[in-house]
Parts: sequence; structure tokens; C-alpha cells
Amino acid sequence: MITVDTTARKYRLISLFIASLGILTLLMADIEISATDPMDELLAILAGFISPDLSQIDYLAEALLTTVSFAVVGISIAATLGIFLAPLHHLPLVSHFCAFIRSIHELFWALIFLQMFGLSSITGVLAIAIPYTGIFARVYSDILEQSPLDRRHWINDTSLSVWLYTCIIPCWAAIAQYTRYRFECALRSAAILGFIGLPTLGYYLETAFSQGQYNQAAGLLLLFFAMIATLKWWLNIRLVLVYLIAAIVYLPWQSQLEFKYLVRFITQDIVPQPLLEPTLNLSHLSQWFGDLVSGQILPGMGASLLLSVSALLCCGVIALLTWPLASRAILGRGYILGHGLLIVMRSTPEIILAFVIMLIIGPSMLPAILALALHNGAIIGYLLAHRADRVPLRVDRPNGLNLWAYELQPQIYPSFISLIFYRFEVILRESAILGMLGVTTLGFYIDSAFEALFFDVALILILVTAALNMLVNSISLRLRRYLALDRIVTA
Amino acid sequence: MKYLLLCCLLFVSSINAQTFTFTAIPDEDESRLSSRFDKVALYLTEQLGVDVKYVPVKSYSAAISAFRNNQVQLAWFGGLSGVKARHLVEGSRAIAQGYEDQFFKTYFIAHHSTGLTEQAQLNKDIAKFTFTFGSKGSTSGRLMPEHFIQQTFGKSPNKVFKRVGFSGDHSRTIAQVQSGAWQIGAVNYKVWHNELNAGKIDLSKIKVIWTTPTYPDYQWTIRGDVDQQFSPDFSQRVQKALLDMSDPSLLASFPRQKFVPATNDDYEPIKVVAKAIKLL
Repeated sequence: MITVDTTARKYRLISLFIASLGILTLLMADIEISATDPMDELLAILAGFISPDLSQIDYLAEALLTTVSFAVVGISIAATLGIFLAPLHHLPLVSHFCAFIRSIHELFWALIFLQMFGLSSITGVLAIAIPYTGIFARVYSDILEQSPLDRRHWINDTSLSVWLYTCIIPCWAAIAQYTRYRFECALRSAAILGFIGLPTLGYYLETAFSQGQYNQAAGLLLLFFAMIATLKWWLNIRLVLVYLIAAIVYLPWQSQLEFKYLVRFITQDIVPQPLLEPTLNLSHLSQWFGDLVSGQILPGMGASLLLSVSALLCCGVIALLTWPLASRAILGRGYILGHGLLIVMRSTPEIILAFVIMLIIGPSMLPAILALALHNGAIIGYLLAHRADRVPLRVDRPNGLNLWAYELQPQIYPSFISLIFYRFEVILRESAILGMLGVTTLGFYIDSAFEALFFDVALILILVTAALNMLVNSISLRLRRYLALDRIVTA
Repeated sequence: MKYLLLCCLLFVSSINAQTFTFTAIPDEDESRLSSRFDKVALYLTEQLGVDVKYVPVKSYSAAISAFRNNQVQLAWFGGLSGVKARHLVEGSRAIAQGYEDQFFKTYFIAHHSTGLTEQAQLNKDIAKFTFTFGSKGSTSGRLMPEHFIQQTFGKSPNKVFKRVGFSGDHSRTIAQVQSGAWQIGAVNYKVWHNELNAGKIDLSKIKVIWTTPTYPDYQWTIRGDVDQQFSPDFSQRVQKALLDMSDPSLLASFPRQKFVPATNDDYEPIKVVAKAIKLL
């Protein structure tokens, strides 16, 4: 018997692989549902959304401008560095470096810079620019690889203008579109940086939410949704330079921090404390490290992986269910509603989604899984809908369900798998910030270490998280190669 | 012309003069921090004769970092964060505490479905249920409840309870226990009373099942080097200004009825507990 190795077979295999792995982890994960009594709190949240209120928030305009400015400056730096790193991304050193810097969550970058630069604009901008540089370098390099022109043209002649005209310009549309999408992500990141005290929208959102002032929380969330929804009208690519200059002028740049504190952070705070003892005691050091491995690193890695793989499966299901709702080809004008739904789902910070879900089903890993799945599923759904609407359709195409099931879904399935692989990295990184549910991921321990000012422990845990992310990244790269998915533009 | 010159002089002196900066994280109602504490800054400016500025921070750890890096010279810390800050900054001193902070306490609260009732001792039956602390760095929401649990059961909370979480905030603890998401929680007693008065607590759903013994909590801590930075008796003058604060609208920001003198030694019990729990 001859088996024909069609691409579809590969996709079936890989889908089966993700599904079985996801089901296995869901069975292993702690997904207990407990009876709760959430009506009062849910009604209070609902009442908040019925009468949102922004009048009680001091410095709202400043928060809004700071959020946009962090995103604009951060993205500008990251996109510029990214485009120069992209042609070098095939070098293992560069690709590992990029994987490393993007594997650390913005909030953790911010917590590190907070120790060096205090609550300053530098902290906010770097926390966005650094991980996004890693993301841009990789995605731009994927885009450039598909450049229609022969790359030898610029390998022989390395001058900048040859590179610019043979590589960048032909891919400009794809690059610009991806950068625009990333800007939305950067706005979200900038807002969330407020959770640790930078003066962005998240600062007020976190306060309002944790104090149960749902009118204000709702007002801020709605404002944020509106900002994202109107992005295509106010983010004009020709005005980018104007925005950038305005943002740089607007942000306060002085940092009160003295150089000696920066030195202290690097030479003392992040060095494992047993190494700083006057006489090096090896048994003390190995005990310190052993406790860290058995008490935090191993359980943290286990929980992070369980959470991320389960969330990945749920995220895929949600993406497949929601993209048709936002597709103009399938729903016609009705797509606006689906589009709005996806904006709400992807722009609500996961921590708030998790909190609301926890009120309903009680604390366990499940609210964290669902929050990650809803958020990331909505992002994939949005990107898929976008892609589906660009699929050329024949005049005699089917309509409605048939169009969805037999025409569009099969055509965008490779994109779906490609996005899922990339999102796994993101989910693993974001699983870090859901420690409040008592889900002891690596991020839970990192947060605890920062809270207790044990920077040495925090740094080791961050490096472990980064290593785990890089491992996952290289596995997903191999799978993508196997599927020849690297021929599809990722996002 | 005379006025112009005066303006110039004022401008120059205002950029030359050193600014005394402080931060405060109150244990309840974190909204409108800036506008509330700007009033306190104004009061201190009048009392001390130097420019005083308030810097809002979001967490205990951020407050400690700012204090340690001399971005703020004075801070209204919780018991644990104060001990940590003074541990990291040599020469820094606790100079005043709230009247209430001399005998602070934590309430253990339970959802009605647990069937638990208020008792004089910590009921060992709580081990059957799920439990949430407040913020990870809180004295009343984390450190002291963890200490008393450890004392009662002889093991750490995550070995005692079915499940342990950190709600992140006292108001969240109350909301989450009231909704039954968590069955038991530990909460700052002042926040509890405040929310009770505000009508946010339904006593048929949630009640206090145990009150911890008292311990010292919030205090003002000042850096040791302010006397060199500002004037030789500066820390004394700051202490006096704080103790003299009598305007209810200023005190309401903390909220405390008044401030009383405090010393580092007052916080020795907190230090011992923090070391035992490995938070220091």
C-alpha cells in the first residue's frame, strides 16, 4: 500500500498532536469547579458597565497620553532595531538572543528597570521596546524570507540602499501591516505597565478594580476598547513621525536615580546572596540553590507548562469558533458585531478576565486557563478573520456555513496552525502573571521574589523562564519547518 | 522690572532648593491617592519650610525600592515593608505610627457555607477549606495571618489548606470570600469595618470567625541621611509635624485618628516573624 504524503495529512497529525497533548494536560491540571455565590458581585460589575464613570479619576488625560506615548516610542525603537536584526536572524546567535529578550514578559522587564531607573519613562519605554525588538526581528525575518526578489542581489552588494530597495520595499505592505497590529499590542502592554505603578491607564484600572469601584473600572475599560476600536482612524502611517516626536516631547525623561544605585543593583542585588558572604561557603550555596530548584523552579515549571498547554488547546478551539463571527466574507455587515466582541475579548486584561471567571467557578487553574484562552483565542480569531477576508473567492462560491466549512476554513488552516505555534510562546510568557489565583507558575514565584525584594531569586527564575521559552521556541520552529509553515507569514 | 527680577529669583531658588519627597500606600481606598496626599504634602511644606512632594506608588515593594534609592526620603509603610526598608537602608528610623497601629489586628473571615462560627481560638476545622491572603507583602493580609496559622498548625499555610491564594488587596479578599470563590480569608480589621459601614458586606453571607492577637503595623519611616541633606534637626522637625497633624481631612487619608511616636524597637516582633517566615 502506498501512502501519499499530502500536506493535509501533516495538518491532521499536528492537530491531533496538539489536541491530545491539550486533553492530557487538562486531565492532569487542577480544574476543579467549586460552587460559589457570585450574583451580588457580578451584578455590581454589570451595574458598573451600565453607568461607567470617569469623572473620579485624577490625571486621566495624562494617563491616556502616557499610555499612547510609551507605545509609540517603544514600538518605534523596536521596529527600527527589528528591521536591522531581521536579515541577521538566520544566525543562531541572533535568533537565540531575540528569543531570549522576547521570552521575558513586559511586566518583568519593567520590574527589573524599576530597580535601576525608578518609575520613569525610560522604564516604561524599555519594557516595551526590548521584548518587541525580539518579536519584530523574528517576524520581519519571516516576512523578508518571502521577498519575491532573489536575495543574492543584496548578499553580493551589501550597501544599505540595495538592501532597502530589494528587500524592504517589496515587503513594505506586509511589514507595515504587522507593525500596525503590534502597535495595538503595545498599547495593551503600555496600559498593563500601570499595574506596577507607571502612570498609564492600567494604574487607575488596577486601583478601581481592586477597590471594587466598578463604575470607574468599566469607564476605563470602555475608554480603552474605544481607543483600540478607533485605531484605524487615528493611527495613520504617514503621521508616525509626528506621533513619535510628540511622544518624545510629552514624556518626562529625567530619572532621579543615581548611578551608584544602578551599580549596586548589578553587582549586589542580583548576585545570589550566598556568593556575597565574606567567605564562600559551598554547602550553603548548594543548599540555597537546591531549595530554589525543589521549592520553586521545578513546581513552577510544571505548573507553567500544564497551564500553557491546556490554555493552548482551549485557545485554538475559541479561535476556530470566533473567527467566522468577525469575517465580512461570511457574515457580511454583521461582522461588525463579531469584530467588537473580539476587541472586548482581546483588550480586557487577562487578570480581570481571570478574576471574573474565578468569581463564577471558584479558584483553580481553570480560570487562568480560560482567561488565557479567551484573550489569545480572540487575537488569533481576529487575525484569521482578517486573512479569510483576503482569500480570493470564485463567483460560484458557496455561502454561509458551506463557505465557512468547505472554502475558507481549509484555506486558512495553515495560518491557524502557524499562529497557534507562535501563540504558545506568548501564552507561556503570559501564564506568568496569573499568580493571584494561587496557580503557582514560574511567574507566581517571580512576582513573589520581586515583592519580597529578593532580586537574585527573581533573576534566576526569569532566566529559567526564558530558557523554557527558548526550548519551546526551538521545538515549535522544528515543527513549523516540518510543516513547511515557515512559508506562511506569521503574526 | 522689580517683579520680573523677583520672579527670576523665585524661579532660580525653586530649582536650587531641594525637594523633600514622601510616599504613602494607605491600607484602604487607594483611589485618588495623588489629590489626597498632595494636601498632606502642602501641610508638610508649610510646617517644614521646604518644598515637599508626594510620589504615588502601587505596591509595598515599589515603596521600599523608592525609599532605598533615595527617590523618597519619608514613607508611610506597613509593618513588614517598614522593617524591610529599615533593614536595607542603614540609619533609617521609624518616627511615628498611627494611634491604631499600636494594637493592630487581622480578622479571619469565612463564607456562610463553611458553617464556621466565631471562636476565641483559631478553629482547626478551617484546614478543610480554601484560604486567601491579601497582598503578598502585606502585614495584616499576609505576614501575621501566616504566622498565626503556622503557630496553630505547626506547618505552612499551603500544607494546611486545600488551596491558598493571594487576592492582592483587602477589598478583594472580602469580595471574593463573600462571593464564595474563596471560603476563608484574612483581612485588615480596619478595612473590614470600613466596608461594613459602607454597606458592602452582607453579614448573612460572610462573618468574622477569629480575631488575631494585636501587633504593631503602619508607621512613618525616615531615611537617616535627611539631617545632612536638609538641616541638622530635620528628622525631628518632620516627626513633630507628623505628630502635630490634627486636621481630620488630612488624617482621613491614612486613615488614622492621630499619629503617636514610634521607634524601630516597636517593630521587633514583626522582624522576628518576618525572619521566621523567610520574608526578610
